[in-house]
Amino acid sequence: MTAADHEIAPESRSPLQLAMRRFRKNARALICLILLALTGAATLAVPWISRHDYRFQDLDNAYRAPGPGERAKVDESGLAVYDENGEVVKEKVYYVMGTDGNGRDLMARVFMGGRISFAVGILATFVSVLVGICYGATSAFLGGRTDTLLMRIVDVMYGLPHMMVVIIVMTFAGRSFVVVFLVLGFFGWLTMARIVRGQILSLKEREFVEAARALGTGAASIIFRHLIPNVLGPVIVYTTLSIPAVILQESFLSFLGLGISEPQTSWGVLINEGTVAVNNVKNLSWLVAFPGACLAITLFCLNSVGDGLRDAFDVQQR
Amino acid sequence: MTAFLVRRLVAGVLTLFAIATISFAVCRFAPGSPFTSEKNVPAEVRRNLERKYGFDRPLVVQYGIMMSRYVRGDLGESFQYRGREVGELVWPGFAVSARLGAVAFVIAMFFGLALGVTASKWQNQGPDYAAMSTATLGICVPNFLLGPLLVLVFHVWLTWFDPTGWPENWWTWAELKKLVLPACTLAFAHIAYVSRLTRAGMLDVLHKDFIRTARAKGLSEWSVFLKHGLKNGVTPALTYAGPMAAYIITGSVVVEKIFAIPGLGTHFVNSALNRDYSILMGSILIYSSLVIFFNLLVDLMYAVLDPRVRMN
Amino acid sequence: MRLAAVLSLAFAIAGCDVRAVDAPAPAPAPKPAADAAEPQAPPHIEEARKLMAEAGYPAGKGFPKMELLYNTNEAHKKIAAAVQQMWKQALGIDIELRNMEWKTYLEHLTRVDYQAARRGWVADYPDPNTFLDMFITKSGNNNTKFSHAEYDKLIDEAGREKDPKKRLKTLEKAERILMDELPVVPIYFYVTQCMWRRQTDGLFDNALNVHPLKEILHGDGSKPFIMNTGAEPQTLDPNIQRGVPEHRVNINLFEGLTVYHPKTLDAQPGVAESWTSEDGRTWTFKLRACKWTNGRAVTAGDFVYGWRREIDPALASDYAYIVFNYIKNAKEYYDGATADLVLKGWAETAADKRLEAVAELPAQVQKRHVAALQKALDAEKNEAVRGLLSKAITAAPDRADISVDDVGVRAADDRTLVAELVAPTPFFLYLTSFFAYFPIPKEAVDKHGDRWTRPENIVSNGPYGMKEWVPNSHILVAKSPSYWDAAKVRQPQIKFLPHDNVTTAFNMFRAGTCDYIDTVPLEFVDELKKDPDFHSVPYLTTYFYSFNVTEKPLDDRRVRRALALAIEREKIVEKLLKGGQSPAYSMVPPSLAGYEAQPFYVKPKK
Repeated sequence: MTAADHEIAPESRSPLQLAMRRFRKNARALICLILLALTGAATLAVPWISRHDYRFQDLDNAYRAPGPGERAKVDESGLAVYDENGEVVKEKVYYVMGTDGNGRDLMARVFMGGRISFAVGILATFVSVLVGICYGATSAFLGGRTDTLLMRIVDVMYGLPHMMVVIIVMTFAGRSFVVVFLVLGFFGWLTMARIVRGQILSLKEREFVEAARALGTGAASIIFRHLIPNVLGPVIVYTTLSIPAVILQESFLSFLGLGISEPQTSWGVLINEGTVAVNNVKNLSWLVAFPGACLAITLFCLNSVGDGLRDAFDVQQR
Repeated sequence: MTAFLVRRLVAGVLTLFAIATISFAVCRFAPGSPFTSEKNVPAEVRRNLERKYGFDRPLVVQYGIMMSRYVRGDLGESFQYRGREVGELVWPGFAVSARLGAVAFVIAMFFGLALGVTASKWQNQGPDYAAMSTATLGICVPNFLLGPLLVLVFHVWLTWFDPTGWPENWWTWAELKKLVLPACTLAFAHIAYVSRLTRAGMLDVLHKDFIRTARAKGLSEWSVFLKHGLKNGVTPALTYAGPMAAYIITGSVVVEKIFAIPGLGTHFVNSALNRDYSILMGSILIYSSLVIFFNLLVDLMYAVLDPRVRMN
Repeated sequence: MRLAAVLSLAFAIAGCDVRAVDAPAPAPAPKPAADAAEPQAPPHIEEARKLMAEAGYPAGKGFPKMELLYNTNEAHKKIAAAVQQMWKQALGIDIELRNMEWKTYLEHLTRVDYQAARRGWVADYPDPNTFLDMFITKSGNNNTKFSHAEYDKLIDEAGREKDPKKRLKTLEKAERILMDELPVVPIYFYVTQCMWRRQTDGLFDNALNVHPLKEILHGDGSKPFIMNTGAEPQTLDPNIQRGVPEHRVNINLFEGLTVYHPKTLDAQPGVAESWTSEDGRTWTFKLRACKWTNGRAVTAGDFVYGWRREIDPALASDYAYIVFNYIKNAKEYYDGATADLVLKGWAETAADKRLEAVAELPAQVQKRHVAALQKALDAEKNEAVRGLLSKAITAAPDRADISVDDVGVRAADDRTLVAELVAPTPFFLYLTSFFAYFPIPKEAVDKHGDRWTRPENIVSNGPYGMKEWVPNSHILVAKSPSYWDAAKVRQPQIKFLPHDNVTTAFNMFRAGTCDYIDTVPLEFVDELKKDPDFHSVPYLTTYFYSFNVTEKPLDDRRVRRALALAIEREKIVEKLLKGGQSPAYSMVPPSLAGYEAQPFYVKPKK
């Protein structure tokens, strides 16, 4: 090779790397990604380091606005501490986001709820992505009548008003965390299956696959080195956009009283409890403002990141 | 074209059938019966009541009876409201929800298009940012949060609108006012989507060659914009109309709860909680039919717009 | 404390003191100075802790898993969460909360498939008996597996006692047993929380929280009085209805032998002009001349038909018990008719359902069932079922056949009704105002069946008649011209709304689109207490937790008492509910005249 060849030959990049490069240039998406990471870190860190346990109630402190307060003291095993007169010993604390009707610190609850909301979002999306990819890829590969049948099934399930079925299942199956994310993930896979199948079908006929086949590369190798990286784009975009959709659905369920149950909490549950703040009798705005703001910001960031990814992966889309 | 329609209709009917079967299975295998009550009645007395409604028959027989009723358009009797037929409870509820949905649809389309078009005309300037920020807000604030907030602002603070209720007649503004808050709550998220799609579509079109040609020919800016740009630019927004209708239908459950509107969503949630299977199945079938219908409409529009789809 | 333990563990591991690895030394308790006061918990917590230790769970160690069940509702959730924490802070135990929606919750409750569950009981009539007879062994409303022979005996005795003072004393003894055994833990007594405006004349607070609207006048009467009942009525058939929303509507559409005064709850003449009874067991009612809305006169036969229909098992009425507990032979008829149902449907009953079907049979069968029982026994293979069938066959011949005609109510003539009771019942005149005892127009039921309560079919005899009923929207009733006392009815129209969302109803009341609501959002109660439109009086309802007394650890009385003592009722009532409710230490509310409620604990005065 001559020196000239080195200068002229361009670096080869995979579509993934190209997309990442474009994404990095999108300022808004980057900021949102950072914000998301911060929020995620906060949901993990705050309940852990906070002096307030998200379940600890002190009825004397119910509906306190953000600010300092006094709280009953408990020892390690959770037993209340009394003084000589039989009165409960109090200690000074600060409520950053105020308290709810049971006297529980709202900040601890908001971030604990964030954990659950994120967990449900991520797990449900994970379930739907996994099932969707397998289903779509299988359908695309098998082709022919099996493919048509499998896609018909998807069409039928598309016709189900899925929120309705979710409501019914939640009513009947009880409200454990596992049921919630399984049920919410159950409908997400439909779109994913369609996307994956569409992508694989179009890729199957492309030249580079033909070339790889001609060269004698095995099917597994084709799948992993050629098809999957090309499918990854839309999958990543859809995954990122699916998380906020699931979080929203879970909040919707919680609002109807069918989502996460005690002692766990989620943003939807907190917003539901917070709607009592909408009145002209008492100012309880912190109850709905903090969880509402967290939910809105998270959804905004997830959507921005998803949009950024979509722009990054698809040059033609604006 | 007809072959396409027929195929889709048949698929739709099959889907409804599958839905009815799945729902039936879920209802029958779930814990709790419509007849459990707080004051205990002896097991046999309760069973006798269940016998009256045919619960003692084998599941297959019950299923068969139910399906034959549905084919005839008879939605059955309610278990919870004795002496009432499902039809007389569910159809008025549907009428209410449909009207609310239609108003929300119109609001969403109108304001969505307006915002999107404005944003595209003054791209990257003030109106664009304003419009897109509103759009973003619509996507990130769920309707069950928005509803109470709207009530707070427009009823508690400003006392412009009532917080609840359903218009008793449609001829007076005083009554129609009751629709404003619920319809806006329902429409808001979709205004966001429609405006984003419109903006994207308009921008797409406005950068095409034929627009440049029109300008070069000397046509006025407004003529170019409205006659040529608008016609083509709103297509993506229009194709969202189908899914939007479906989302409005499902979103109405929450809005009905917040604003105390006697619609289908209220019936649906209550019947799930009270195990009133007939009302539950009746409402599911209505919802499913609507969703299938709107999906069909969307596919039809795609087929009309893109001949390649028809061939598939 | 934690740091010290960790450090000592670290030293133990690092050092050579192997023994310490097993038991990291806790920080030594500070030795109290010779004359400094010892920190001590309030007496009820001390007692609770002591009881737990005696039962084998000192400071909560070793306490098995326990679940507290409650149905989906904001208030129940808040109270359960508070109680969970109180038990943790007082006793060191961790319990789990389990939230179920209504129907599933009922299933678990009626099958006693729970350890602890939240319950509430609204008085059916203003007498202590309604709170106590639900806990006898064979009561369908027991739901706790509590069974105490002495208790059953006392309740039965009280039911037959003629002297009112002795009767109340016997009931007090029964409550004493209940509060010593504590299968249930009372938490608080409700208060009504209604709102209505000053312009509405004729509405009064009463302890039953259901307001007869016969004599109200709203403003000048030109607009309908709009009342929110809280739910869409499932039915307005008096023999099938069971909820408070239905009661609010029906008390204005129908009228029984007596009505209760809106304020004092005293029984007053309704359809019955006068009544006599010498022994308190046989009552003779003289009916006045009054009409149904279709023009026919109301007769004693209508009452006989109605009471018999209430206890017809085919109707599966929830409130059949309130008739057959008091009317002579009604329970026997009900049992026999139920056995008829079992045996008639025997051939179609699936094999796995048979055991459940025959469970009560031995107590229900009468002479006429022997043949059918024998037939069933001959064909039956299952041992357990055979056993019960044999028991039934042995019991049957000794029981006389009771037909519907033997039930203790008859029409001596068109305007005279004679009722025979099981035992002298002092609150019987209150019962006759209850919807289960309303007269029913036979011709409407015969003609329209299940649909007889629709606006186009309904025939009623009360101060108001139904004009419109749009499901999930409203019920409109108007002053009934055929009512015997129509002169006293001032309000031309009333509209009932079915909104179940408390906040929505409250907003409607504030906006003026509703004139009466019966609950307010929990959070605003302390502000509303200053509002003259807010009406709150003690309500004869007890909120309590129920225990399954056959399961560990709740089978130990000491554990139950400890749990009961550890609940800080004053805190719940003052800080959580804030509605003026009172903490409950007894099952029966204290406001019933002549009765001394028996608390399980009396707080020492400071």
